[in-house]
Amino acid sequence: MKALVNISAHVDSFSWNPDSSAIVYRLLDHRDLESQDFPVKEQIVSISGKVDELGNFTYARMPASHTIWRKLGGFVFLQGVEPSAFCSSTCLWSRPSSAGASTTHLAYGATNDVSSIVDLGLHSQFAVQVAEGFLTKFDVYDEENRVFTAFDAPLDYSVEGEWDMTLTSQGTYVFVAVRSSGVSGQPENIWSGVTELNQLGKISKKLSSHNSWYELKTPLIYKPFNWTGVDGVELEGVITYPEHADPRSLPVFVYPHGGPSS
Amino acid sequence: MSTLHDAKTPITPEELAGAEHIEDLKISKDGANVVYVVRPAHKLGEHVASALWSAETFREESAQQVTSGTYRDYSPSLHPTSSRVFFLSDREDAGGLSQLFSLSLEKSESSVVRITDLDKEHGVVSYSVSPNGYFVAFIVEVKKPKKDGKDPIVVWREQEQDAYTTLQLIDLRTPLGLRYGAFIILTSSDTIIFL
Repeated sequence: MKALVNISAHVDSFSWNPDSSAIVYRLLDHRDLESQDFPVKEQIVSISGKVDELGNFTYARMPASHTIWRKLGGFVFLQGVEPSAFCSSTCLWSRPSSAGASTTHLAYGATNDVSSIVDLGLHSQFAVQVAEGFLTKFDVYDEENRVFTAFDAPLDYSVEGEWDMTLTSQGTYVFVAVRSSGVSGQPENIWSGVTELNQLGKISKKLSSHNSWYELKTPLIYKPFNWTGVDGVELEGVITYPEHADPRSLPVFVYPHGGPSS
Repeated sequence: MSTLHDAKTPITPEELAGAEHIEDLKISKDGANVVYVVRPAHKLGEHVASALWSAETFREESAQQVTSGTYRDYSPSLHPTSSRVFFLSDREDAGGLSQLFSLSLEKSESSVVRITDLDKEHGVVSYSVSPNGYFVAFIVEVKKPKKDGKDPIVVWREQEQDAYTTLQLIDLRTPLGLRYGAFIILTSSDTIIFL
């Protein structure tokens, strides 16, 4: 075992470069939640332990994802539309690998936000999970930041949260996600799908049967609905209540959530 | 009239607490397999426990449990050039700090190998195997030992000098077998083979 970074600061997270010769890592002065809202340093170290001083960079706050180091150079990551703001829609950013270069807002953040990002492992490509109202989609970016939607979840089920994707050497995009549906009473399970460049894929294979006990239970009713707020903003929600119950006679708990950035 | 719904019963709080929650999905580089973690939605016992599962992405209903779920096994990933699964676990100190382990998907629990050799005051926070599969880098945290069964009193943002998290590296091509009981060889085609 060899110490690559052992200094008077906490290593918080790190990512490999594509040729496995170096690592980009973040440093915090303190290892607590409060530190997430203060400037975060990012540096580069080779596997021989040599720190690349030209690779130093400082984020206004802790980004919302790890950093992806692209094969053709540069980094992509998630952070708020307003990086120094305490609360801001999470969107996609990039920065060159050269010292002192500024960051660039690539996409999202106006009517949607990005939940997570995964490195596809080939040709500098990566994918993001985008949330907009009820809908979730997986967008894929190539080495020149051209984008296509690899998957767009329909309204009758959810793929929020856990997912992963890879680009195989045959050029196919294989993805897995946790899929569930309140509308049709399906508990969360692992599903998979396949697509190709510029093709919209489908989640077609159910790989697991977790929570099968749910089939023996009285289902809950889930109904999506829309309304217009007093300020004219269009809002979406889901109402949940026991089967055979009249929701107008039940107490209501309101759980505000969703995107952008909440 | 008796219907199927009539035979169904309401969901209980215990069922909700014990519902299987899926997390930490990781797909293999070739897209053929996925590993993930299943745990109760809420803590049920004295310590948090979770199990590793795997599935073939092109075969329906292929999911199978890989580890027992007795301990907290989490953060799995598939080695980029072998069928070996790396993961974090508190299996040698339930409820304590985690170590990095690996196992063979075919042999599950019987093939578990400990990769990191840290004492009980040091644990692995996170790790990542290099894209070429030669190295594993990981963050190590320090935890002060308990005194009389209790966690030591720590003043907020003080006494951190000897407790910084560090970034460590293990070269998986070295003869780990001599130290950990695993045998890893590098073939002429630059492929790491775990035996």
